[in-house]
Amino acid sequence: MHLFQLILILFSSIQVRVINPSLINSDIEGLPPSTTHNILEFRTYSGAFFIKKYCLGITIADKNEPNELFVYETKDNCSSPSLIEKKLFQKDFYNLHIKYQINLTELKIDQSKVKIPVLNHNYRVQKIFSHHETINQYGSFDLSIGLGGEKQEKVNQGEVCFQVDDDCQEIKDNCDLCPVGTYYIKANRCSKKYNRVCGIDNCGVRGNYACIRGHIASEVIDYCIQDSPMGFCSDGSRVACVNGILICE
Amino acid sequence: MKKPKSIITKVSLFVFLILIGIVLSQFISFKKKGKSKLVKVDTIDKAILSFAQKKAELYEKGDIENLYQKARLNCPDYIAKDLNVSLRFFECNPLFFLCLQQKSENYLGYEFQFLGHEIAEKGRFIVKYLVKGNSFQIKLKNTCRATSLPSGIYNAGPRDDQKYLWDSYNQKVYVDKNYFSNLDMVMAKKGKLKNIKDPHKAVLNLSPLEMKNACAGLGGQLMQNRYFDALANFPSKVSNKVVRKFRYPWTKKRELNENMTISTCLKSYNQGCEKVDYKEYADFSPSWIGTYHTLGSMMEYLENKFYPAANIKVSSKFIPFDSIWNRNFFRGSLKESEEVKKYNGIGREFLEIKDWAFRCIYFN
Repeated sequence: MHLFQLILILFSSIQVRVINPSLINSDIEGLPPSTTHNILEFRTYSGAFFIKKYCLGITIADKNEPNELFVYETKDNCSSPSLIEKKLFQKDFYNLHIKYQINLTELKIDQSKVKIPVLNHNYRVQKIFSHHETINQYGSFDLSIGLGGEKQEKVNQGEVCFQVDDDCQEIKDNCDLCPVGTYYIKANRCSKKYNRVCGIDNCGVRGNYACIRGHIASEVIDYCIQDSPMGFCSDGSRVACVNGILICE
Repeated sequence: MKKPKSIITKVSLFVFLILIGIVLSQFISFKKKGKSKLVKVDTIDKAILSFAQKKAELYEKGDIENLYQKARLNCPDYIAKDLNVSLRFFECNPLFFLCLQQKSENYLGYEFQFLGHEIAEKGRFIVKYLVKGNSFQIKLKNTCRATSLPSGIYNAGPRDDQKYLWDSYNQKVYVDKNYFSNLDMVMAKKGKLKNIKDPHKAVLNLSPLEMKNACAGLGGQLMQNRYFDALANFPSKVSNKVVRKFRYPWTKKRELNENMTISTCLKSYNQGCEKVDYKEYADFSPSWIGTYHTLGSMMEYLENKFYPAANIKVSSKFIPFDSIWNRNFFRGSLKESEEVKKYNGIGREFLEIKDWAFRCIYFN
């Protein structure tokens, strides 16, 4: 595979995961000979409902021999290097520096430099003087190359798709995979982020999540109490806190 | 005495012509360089990216050349010729996109063949192409339909007390600018885009469950009353959590001394505005965040989480501009409900509910 074909595939990535942070944003040196290390995982769209995973890694050669940079496609994740997958791309190198930014991966391979923009990394920009939004740096679209691949997993309705813990650390963030809308629930002590659930918002009804009144409006610090003003219910039921989650009962 | 002068004149003319030649040759070579730069694209990936950007821009901008009104669109399967609609309808509109799409087009020296389209989850519009043996798809996002409600502290309901005070901090909220249309319904249900009847018109009179499912099909939720109250209330400084409430979306005045004119019909399209052409997707009754139909136009269903019975915006084309019901916050009820009197605090219930539209809200 030519380098440009590789870039063509990888630039439609929706997500780049760093597998080995110690090999990112610094010169790669001092690794033991004959060892293989995966460094990055690229998840790309392939067709409307499919994703493919590609692992970028290196194999360190014996003294004075060139090392090898490679990319292969996998059905697992890239956490551990695979010895059986066919390499789509291979290149020898003596010096390698991988620079990783949220929208761009840059490979300095000896004297050459390769830039792989992460095209489908989403972020929103509200344009001034209009209410259009630009979803990513290239405009409001996702690009996918080819057809087929693994069917993209979905989040089920009723499942929490965005979750942060009491210290505001993100535990889960896959609401993009929710096929319908999402809504907020109060289920942690973090005052900056609510959890989100995939599905139709039936908050406020007995047996469902409580609707959120908000931290500022309710002036509540310790939210997890019976009749918590942080939440509200609408059908005569009362706000309760069960396992840290505000519900209506 | 004359000879040397003519020699000097000839020499200076010669020098002048040479200079002109040099300048022109520079200019011509510059133009050539510029042209080749524009046409030459190093690799196919850059051409695909540029093509996708162009298509996304076309999708987003819609009919900026006013082709519809100039009757230059010839695709009756997608867009009929007699739609009474504002040009905004054609922004992020798959019908307009498909109307202009050719079977094959040359772009940056490559032949892009159109393979077809698909409607994906959340009503996203996907177009497929083939270029030099590479197939690819562009998932075009509808960035036109909704606008964001800024984080803030808001006070819902018609009363001035703090009972329905709430805040939207830590929430990313996007609200549909217009009513949910027949085209939206086709997108939500992943239906066929050809020959949609009145694609621009609002879908009316659905049950709450049907409306919820329709919004879910576009990745949203059914619009909720407290968010609608927030966008309808003219923004003002909030101190000590006191949110002032204003009766009308466009002014802080309590009483209006306005006669019914075209201008008032644009602020609130009510009974008596029949002389003003009611175009779908036109800028009737804009709110401070850029949503439309804040007052007037159609009745609208608003799911009320604080007080479920109060769920219809009765301000509409069916009531006069100066009706007491033609104000922010007052709500009727889909089911006859005495309770709504308490909510509105005006001692009577609005009974003639008909032709309610709806819109969606998105939490991202």
